[in-house]
Amino acid sequence: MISHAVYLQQLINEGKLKLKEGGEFKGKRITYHDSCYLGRANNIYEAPREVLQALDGELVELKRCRSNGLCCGAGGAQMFKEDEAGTTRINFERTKEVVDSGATVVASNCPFCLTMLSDGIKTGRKKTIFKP
Amino acid sequence: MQLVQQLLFLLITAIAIFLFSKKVKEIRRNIKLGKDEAINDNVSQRWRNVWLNAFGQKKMFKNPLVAVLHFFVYAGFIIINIEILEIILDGLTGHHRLFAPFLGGLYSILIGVFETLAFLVLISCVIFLIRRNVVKVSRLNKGELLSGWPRSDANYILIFEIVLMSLLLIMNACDLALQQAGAEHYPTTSSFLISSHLTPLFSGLSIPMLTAIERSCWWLHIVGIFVFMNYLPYSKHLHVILAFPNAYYAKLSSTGKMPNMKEIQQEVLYMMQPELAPANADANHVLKFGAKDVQDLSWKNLMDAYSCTECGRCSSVCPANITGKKLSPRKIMMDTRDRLEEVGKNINLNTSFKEDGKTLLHDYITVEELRACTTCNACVEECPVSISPLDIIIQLRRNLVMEESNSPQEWNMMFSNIENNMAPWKFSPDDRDLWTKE
Repeated sequence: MISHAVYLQQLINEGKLKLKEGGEFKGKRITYHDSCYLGRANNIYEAPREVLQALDGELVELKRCRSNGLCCGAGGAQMFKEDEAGTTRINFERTKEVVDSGATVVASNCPFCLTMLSDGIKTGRKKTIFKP
Repeated sequence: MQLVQQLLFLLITAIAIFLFSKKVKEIRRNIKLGKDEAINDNVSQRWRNVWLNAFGQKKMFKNPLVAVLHFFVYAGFIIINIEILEIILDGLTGHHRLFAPFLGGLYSILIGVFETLAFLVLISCVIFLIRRNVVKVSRLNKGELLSGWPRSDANYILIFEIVLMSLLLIMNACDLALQQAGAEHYPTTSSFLISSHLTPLFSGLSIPMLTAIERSCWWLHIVGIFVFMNYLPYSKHLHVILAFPNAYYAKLSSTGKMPNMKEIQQEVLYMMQPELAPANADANHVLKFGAKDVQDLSWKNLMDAYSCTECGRCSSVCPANITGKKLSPRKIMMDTRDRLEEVGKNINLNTSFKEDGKTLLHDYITVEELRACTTCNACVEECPVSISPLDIIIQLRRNLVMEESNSPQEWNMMFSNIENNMAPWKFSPDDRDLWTKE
């Protein structure tokens, strides 16, 4: 089994996949959210970053990244239920970090993270947890 | 008089060793209450982990300042033990500084090294006390560490080490003063690196006075060490021993790999191929899913609990804990140890475990804590002594869901999706490749 991030990196490295010059992401500040299961569980940190670098944008790191990455809040079947009582939701905590990084694009390798981050950004804006 | 001292020393040493080995045996028995789990693969990788994570304390170096200070205390602890060997031999034989004549000039250099370490241990422990109680580093002042025994335990350890190191230095300083005064029974050595700076404080005193101080420090120091040794098994400080085997037995496979449940696999297999089911299966044999109490956990989980030094690095990176939920991986470990100690005492009292109406699940660890875990492995990644709180959480949660059907409604819907659609979503498996046509 091979992760799609690694597969894409291989295709790019072998020249089988060429990205369009001046694509949609050119010059944009992009940040990458390490998913727990690709990162800590499988030690894949570089492949997705290399794919993003091929986009010709500026890759910025989040404060908690790689093996220190903060979970998006979906794992352990959390995505299918509400958070337990606390001070904030995990995806708000994470998306706040994304916004603080100054990036305008956040990339993720995992559909669960994607959902949590999109939701965090949408709801976070609405509830003004961070400035839009 | 000399003989009385020697006999007294022998007696104290024997009692200290007896009590210590008795408690160690008890802890070993408690750990073995856990389920059998064969961990013997890939020996070379395991030794590598011991070398890097236990001897080298690799994980500590995420914060270099704390790591260096901790390394001083650790190196001091190990290396000063060489001097304790001399002290014990002195005590048993009635000599004073037994090794000095054999080692000549090297002796003072060695003592200088020990003293430097003692001084570094002392300074580090003072800084640790300040971090804990004055600067109030968040992870050391949160949740289960706010008050009570865990808080006192941490402070006792640091104060104890400060006192022990001070005694050692004062003892050596008085020794030098006695040598200068030409006291009998104190063979001349070269000056000691650190304590020589303290000697002027004592040099005005009379020989009997100096001897009294030196002897008191000697006795308090060695008895203190014996007391500390016997304090270890009751304290979080036990990590100084268990960090090593715990690094050896740490999981080597991907931390994200969820162990299959054999019980379930068997059931499914017998359902698919009934001919494989044992004909004379014991109808009274009740299968247990996951873990409800400490005996249901693996022995490695239980050794984890005894290895925990309550530093709270796990909880400080736990997404649930950061966002104010009740879950704290450190508390999971502390609860497991507390419950295991309780079960152990129960066995001591009744020779075998007598049902006490309590379990780790519910009575120690609540549903709310367990449900908040995102299984992100941050706690496992962070732990300097190779503990997996996640492994315990998952087993307790399996019991909760599979034996008590204790799960939120949303999860039940997700479970039935998995059963029917082989995915947590409400889509037919036939539609899985529709995205390729988009």
